[in-house]
Amino acid sequence: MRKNSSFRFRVCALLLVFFACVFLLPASRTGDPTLYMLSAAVPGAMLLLLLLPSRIFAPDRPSLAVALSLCGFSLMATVYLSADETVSQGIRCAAGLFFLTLGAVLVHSFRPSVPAAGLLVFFGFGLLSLPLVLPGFSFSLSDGGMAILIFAVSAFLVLRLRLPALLAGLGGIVLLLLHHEIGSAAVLAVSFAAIFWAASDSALWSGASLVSAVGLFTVFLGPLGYSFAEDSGISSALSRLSSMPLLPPESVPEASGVASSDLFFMLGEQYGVVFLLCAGLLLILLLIRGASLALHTRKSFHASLALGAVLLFGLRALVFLARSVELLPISAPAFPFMTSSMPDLFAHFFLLGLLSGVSARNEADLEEDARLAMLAR
Amino acid sequence: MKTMRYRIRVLTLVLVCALLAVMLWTAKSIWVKAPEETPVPSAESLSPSLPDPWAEPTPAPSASSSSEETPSSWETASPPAGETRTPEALFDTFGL
Repeated sequence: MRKNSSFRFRVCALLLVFFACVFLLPASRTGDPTLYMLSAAVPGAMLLLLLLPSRIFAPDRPSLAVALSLCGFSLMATVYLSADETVSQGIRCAAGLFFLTLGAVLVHSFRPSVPAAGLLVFFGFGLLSLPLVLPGFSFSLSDGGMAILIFAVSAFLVLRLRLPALLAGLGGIVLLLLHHEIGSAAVLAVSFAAIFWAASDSALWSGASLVSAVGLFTVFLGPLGYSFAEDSGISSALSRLSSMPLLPPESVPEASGVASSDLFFMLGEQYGVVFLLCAGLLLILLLIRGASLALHTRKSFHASLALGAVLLFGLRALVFLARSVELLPISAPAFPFMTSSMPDLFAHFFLLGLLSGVSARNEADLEEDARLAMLAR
Repeated sequence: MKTMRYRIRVLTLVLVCALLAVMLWTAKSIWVKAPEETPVPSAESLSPSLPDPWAEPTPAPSASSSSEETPSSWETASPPAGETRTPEALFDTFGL
């Protein structure tokens, strides 16, 4: 146990020193006092976020550390753009902690029932249909809507209500297809079919979910005629990728001057491909941690939730990377935790909160076992 | 629950493998630059480096240089004064 905590302490210390150095270097190059302040504030905030929430709701520390590192990368990406943008991104990441708590509390207090699951479906559909109802609404709430729908589908599957689960998933896919978010719709369709396969005992229903999701895509992309030429960002993504340096450049990189929500590419352009690979590997660590939480939980509802969060994170990154190298000619959602879009970032923290909630349940179960074992003696 | 755990393992393994494969593909596409990105040399930039076939023959730098490095007579020799080089003359030169 002591060895384990010593390892954790070393990893955390390395992380904090790394992020302090990462902000000190551009500060010494540009002489910007805001960057000097960030070099102290970012590691300090990370330390606080790793320590403080554990006193309140027992989050899953490994996944929180990975998420905070990805947030740190997103801050690094904006350093050379403008120090004010970095501060704004830091505030957005800190505000995401509220949604992390919300997700954890929701998992802790939620008991699967038909009215509760129905309410979640209603709320998820509301978030997904908001851009259709209000055309002037500039925010995309699709990531949050998808997370809530996955929650509702898991609840219906635990209650063995497969038809409502199927309708909830398909409704979400239709709404996403209607406002041309093909990448997000594909992520939801695959996650939904995979959860159906894992949580439903019936092969018939699993097949039905898969066939209906594929059918929806065929209808939308065929007769309704989705134009792939609309996604003008695809060719620019590949050209940006091919112009990236392999290692961090020695000179101060030139800021493009344009605030982009694609912080993943900005990180690669300014610090080299090595950092992109680090971000990808960190995400894989998060997926493995989430799957481990799903495997160690005792209730199938919590296992479905953790699996849903893992699938949404992993498939989002997969679609994002596949679109960047022109494997998929569709619009893609942002890389997890590396976006300046506030609703997307909050949705990612909400998913992390689901994982934290499942982790807290596992811890509570283990404590209960230990107590029972003590009483049995 | 046992079947579910097995399926969760399978799904995670597939997802992680797919993600690694796409990351490798991305790294490959960064490593190998896109063909349209490589600059194509213009005709003006190429022309000064091309040897003039009708230029005066330059003497060989040394006797020890190999015969492959010295330009052959049909490449460098200018036609004699008052004579145009016809295709028939070229055929005669090569014994065709």
